[in-house]
Amino acid sequence: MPEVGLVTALLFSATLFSVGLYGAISRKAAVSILMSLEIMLFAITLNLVALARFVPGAQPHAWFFIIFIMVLGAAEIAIGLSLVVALYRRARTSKVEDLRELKG
Amino acid sequence: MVVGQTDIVSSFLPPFQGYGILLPIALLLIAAFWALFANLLPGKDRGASLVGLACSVLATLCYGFSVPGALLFGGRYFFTPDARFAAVIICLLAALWCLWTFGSGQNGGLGRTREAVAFAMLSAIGAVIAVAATDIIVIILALELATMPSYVLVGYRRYRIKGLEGAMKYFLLSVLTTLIMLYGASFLVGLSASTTFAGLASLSNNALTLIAVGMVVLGMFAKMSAAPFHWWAPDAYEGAESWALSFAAVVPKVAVTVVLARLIFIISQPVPQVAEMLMVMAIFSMIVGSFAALMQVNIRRMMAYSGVSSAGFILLVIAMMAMGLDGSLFALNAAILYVAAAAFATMGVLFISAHEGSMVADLNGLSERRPGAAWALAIIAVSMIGVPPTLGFFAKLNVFLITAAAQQYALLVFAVVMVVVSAFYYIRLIRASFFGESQKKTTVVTDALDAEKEGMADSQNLAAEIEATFTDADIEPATSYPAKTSYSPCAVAAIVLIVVVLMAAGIFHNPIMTFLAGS
Amino acid sequence: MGLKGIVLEVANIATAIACLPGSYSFDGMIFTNALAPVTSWVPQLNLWWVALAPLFPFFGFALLICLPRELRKTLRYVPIACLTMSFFIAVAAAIAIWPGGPVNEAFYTLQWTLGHIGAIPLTLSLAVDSLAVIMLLMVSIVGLCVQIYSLHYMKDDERIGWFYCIMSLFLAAMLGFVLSGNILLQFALWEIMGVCSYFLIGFWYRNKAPRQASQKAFLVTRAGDVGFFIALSAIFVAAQSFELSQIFATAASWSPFLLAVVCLGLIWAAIGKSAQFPMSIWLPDAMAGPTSGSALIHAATMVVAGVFLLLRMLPVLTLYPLAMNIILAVGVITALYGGLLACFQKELKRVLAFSTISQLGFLFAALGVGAGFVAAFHTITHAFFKALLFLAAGAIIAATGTKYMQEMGGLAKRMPVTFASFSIGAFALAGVVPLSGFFSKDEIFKALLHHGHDTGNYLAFAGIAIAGALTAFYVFKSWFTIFFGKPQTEGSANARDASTLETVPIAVLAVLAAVTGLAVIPLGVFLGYPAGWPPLYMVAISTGVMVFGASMGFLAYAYRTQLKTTFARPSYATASAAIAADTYLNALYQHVIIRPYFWLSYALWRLDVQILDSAVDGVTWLYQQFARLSYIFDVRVIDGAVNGISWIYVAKTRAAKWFDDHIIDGIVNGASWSFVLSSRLARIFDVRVIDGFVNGLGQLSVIIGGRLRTVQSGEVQWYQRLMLGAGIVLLAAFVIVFVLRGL
Repeated sequence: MPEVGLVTALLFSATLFSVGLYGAISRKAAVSILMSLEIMLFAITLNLVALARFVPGAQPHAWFFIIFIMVLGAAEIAIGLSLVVALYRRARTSKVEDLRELKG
Repeated sequence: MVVGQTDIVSSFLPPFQGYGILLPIALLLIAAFWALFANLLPGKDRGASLVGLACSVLATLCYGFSVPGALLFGGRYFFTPDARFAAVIICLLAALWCLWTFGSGQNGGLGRTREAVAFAMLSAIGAVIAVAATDIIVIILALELATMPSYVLVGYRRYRIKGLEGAMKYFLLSVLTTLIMLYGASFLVGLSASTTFAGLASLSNNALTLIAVGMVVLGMFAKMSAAPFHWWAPDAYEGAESWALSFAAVVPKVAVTVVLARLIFIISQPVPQVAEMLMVMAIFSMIVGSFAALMQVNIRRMMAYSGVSSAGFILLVIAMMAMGLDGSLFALNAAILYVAAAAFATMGVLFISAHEGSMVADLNGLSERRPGAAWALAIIAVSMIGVPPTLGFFAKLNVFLITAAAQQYALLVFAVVMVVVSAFYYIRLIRASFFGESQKKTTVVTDALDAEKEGMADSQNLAAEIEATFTDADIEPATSYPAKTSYSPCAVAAIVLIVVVLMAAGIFHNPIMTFLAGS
Repeated sequence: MGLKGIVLEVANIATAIACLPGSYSFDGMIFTNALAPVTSWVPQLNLWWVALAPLFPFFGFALLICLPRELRKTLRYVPIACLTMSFFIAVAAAIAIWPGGPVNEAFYTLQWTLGHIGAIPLTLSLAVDSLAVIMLLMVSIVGLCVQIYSLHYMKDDERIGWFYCIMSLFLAAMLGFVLSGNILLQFALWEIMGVCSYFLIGFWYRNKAPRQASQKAFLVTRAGDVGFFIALSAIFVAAQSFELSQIFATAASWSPFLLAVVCLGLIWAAIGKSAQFPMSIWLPDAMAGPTSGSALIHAATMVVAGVFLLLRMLPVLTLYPLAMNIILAVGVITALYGGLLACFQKELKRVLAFSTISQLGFLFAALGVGAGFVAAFHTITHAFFKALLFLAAGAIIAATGTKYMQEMGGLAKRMPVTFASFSIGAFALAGVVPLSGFFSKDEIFKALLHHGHDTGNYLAFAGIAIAGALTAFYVFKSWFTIFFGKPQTEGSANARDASTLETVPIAVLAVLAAVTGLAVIPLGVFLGYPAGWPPLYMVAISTGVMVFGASMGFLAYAYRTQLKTTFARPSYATASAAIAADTYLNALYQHVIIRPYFWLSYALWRLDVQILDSAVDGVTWLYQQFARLSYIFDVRVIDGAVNGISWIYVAKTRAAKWFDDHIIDGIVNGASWSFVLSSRLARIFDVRVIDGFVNGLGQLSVIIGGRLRTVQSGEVQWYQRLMLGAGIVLLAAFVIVFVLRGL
């Protein structure tokens, strides 16, 4: 069994990113879209971990980036969920395909 | 460049330098916290706005009297002259907005605004940090801090479904592009083995770097509503309320533009292909922004497309800067000046729209009802079109000069044509306020697509309107809206100040440019 | 294998039968140390294809989960096909390793190293031994019966595709679990089974009961998983590996503390998963899910996972006598608890649920005395007859339209096939000769009796015997109530046998439930244990217990109306309330765990708010003092200055107005005249020339604008896809251009 190298890890995180991306553009329920965005966030974190492991000299920088990405993810989910809740309370729906009033 | 002085205490007195330039951030933070606890403090909403106003004015003065050149935090915060100028603009915009909300606060009919002031202050903090940052992590975090409050401001009134819908679309598209930007940034950090801009200069020019840089700037394009990543802007702007939008539409845009300009300035050395990327984006944005705005009957939607076309011009200038010729620094400054002009103008239009209504037709007869507002609107619209001696004219002139200096004559002609096309919809604002008559009609045209339901005859009417631009012909019927609220003195003061800025900055163009270039 | 081998095997069986009268040997421990040399008659086999057994159903799951609902529904046969393949693999594996060998001595292992933690390799591994093959067979047979049954049972549900999808994942996890030779892999599959059970119990999630039941099941088993996790950590520290072979090899040399942690952690996990006494609260509520799902997970497979884990780890557990006693105690208490509560249930499925709890207690008791083969045997027979009972119960409930037993009756004549099958299952559960349940239960009694003989303490045996009597009691009471007498409702009067798709699997399970017991000796040989027919005195004891219980059950049925009035008396009120509330186990959890948790979070919130509030109040007071001072300053000093300034301002304005009226206006008038002239000229030029050009441009602009507006359709995901598409196209174009330029 060969060692897991940089390319494998990057491919893995790219796959995860694509899974999240696919989920974000094709799910109807707003909460599912938020979950897909979280998956993308994990993929980015994994990417950084892989780069930190295999690229010489990337070590403390990539790790600091990861810490701040987690902060960012938390903040954006907080806003996203409050928006979903506010929308559900007002419009009784949490499916994004029902948001069609504003167009043109 | 003067590095920060060793005497810490004197760096906190004017002229501010070194670590003293962090003082305005502290001031804005105080204002933000005041506004968050406004419920328990005297003055409630108006108090919050007043403190916000005071702190923003002080912050503007601090930046105005600061010395550029401080390189702080191990190379992560570089307070260059263009950063200083952008910080002044941002604090000034925040101050004008606080002035307006102070006048129109709880007793002025606007309702609860204290959290909006808090969000605005936090957004301003993010913006002033972002414009001077030279580190990818700091940029991304600060940009997020600058743009997240605008999601909330768009959906501020939770009983308005349109606002929530606009906020939701803005949020989803913005977060998606932020994540793409983060992904690209992760590659950049990994490949350059550092997070600062200094490390970026050592990137090698291969396909992976190109993709990573492409993803990072994609995120920024989306936030500054450049086509084809602008889809959130019309819906978000239409859904928001005008007063909240007047902050949410301008400050994040200024921040993102400056950040993008600085980033491209650095990254165009290792990766010169970004120049072409930017040119393509610029062309798209100018086309979409100019043409799609022609059909709009909602002021805020029109402002959204106007923002798209401004983004196009800004990207054009940044593209010229990325080509790495002499005078790149001038191009950087021109981009910042352009976005400042667009920001003030947009804010002014939205202030007036907050009083008059959402539709262009609500402006009918403005010159009879309130001649002051009508003339202010006229000057603002004229600035956006680009007529001397306003600031907008000089901004557009810089764009054309730089394009000509880079010998991109085809793009120059294209840009000029687009300016002409975009003039038409700005002129509709003037025409409605001066030549439109307020009428009460039975059919209420609420938005552009409803008009479409009344048949394509409308578009023929529009063609006739454009033809009859300089005549006294009547336009589309007005909605039966009365003016929303009366103009409080502070609102008047804010609008007047905007007009003054646009005119004075245009007339006294040279001192402004000298300040921008860093005397 | 070959004809010779088959012949030899038949001879083996004949010899064993010939040894029937009396001679047997009891050996409580059947598992050998994995380091013992493999005997030469075991050939070196290449059984890599056994790994496909869990992979086929996993493929079925992976396929179905990506599809939309309609397509999933049409492709619901794919998991059945996959499971059939697994069944064939199991059969082939059984033939290949015939005549079997001792448990935990793998015939074939497959290891895959994922990476390294420090110096220790992290591996996934597969170990094919006789126990794994037997379990493969059992799981695939029961799974197939349940899936074929569900084709008809769930045919009206539009989410049937999702049902098959989850069931397929579950079967894949279970098959992997039994084949795994690495305890970390077992943990991962254990968790997956928990998730599948969440989805299966909460299948009809729009109703409140299934939603709550699925959450409860998940949370309780998850609470047990904490124990598994602790045990895993301790195992890693002690054995420096997660491989079962390594664990067994080093177990004797672990420190006592680590050994205790491992054993207690695993027991805790098994108690949660197999619904033993303190953590059994989730199983009765889990009856809110589809019956065929329950037949699979709550009879045959998931609840047995805990038992299987302990069975596999028996070599480690036997090193720690306290652990064995705990298992024994928990098992006996559970058997009694389940049996007692099953006697008082009114719903048929709840009787079966408590019956399952009770039978799992039996299994734990058998494990507690170290009788591993006995536990394995009873697991298999229990799987067959319990799944049979659940499926038949599903058919009965669907046919009569009610789930309460007292509303059924007289179904023996109306549903003959179902009656026959259910009866076989019921008798097997009660332990009627010569059905399978009799043999396996008898082995358990025998094991416990000998344990009592060895330790001088017959308490466990007594407990299990009473539980056996209770089993027979509630089985026969229910059997009489359902099938005899007069039908109590319309629905029961109109009940008919189910369709072929339902009756065939039930019949298959009935046959297996009937004959598996007779195969005790070959099964023993296969698992490397010298099993024999039960001696006559044991037959007598167990049949006696069964007959006693059965007759009590018949009497309870016959005198049911009198009993009802008796138990309605106030003196029985407390007992009835206790039974109704499952002996207050749920209430205990509510008071001891759930309420304190919410109280703590509320208290922390209050604390937080109070600290904040008092800080802000202090600041406000300071501010008020400052405001008072500045007000005084303002009124006295500032106003005076302002008054002075305004006087000066008024004088200035008057002068400015005079200037403006006389001088400025003159200039303006002259300017406006020249302006009017020039504008007239401009207008002529404008109207003739410019307008022509502008008209054309205008038309073009309008058309383009209209087109662009339709793109902005208002749907956010359309925008996202546009954006992504544009981004990808542009990036790809740039990269291609870049590459072409570089060439």
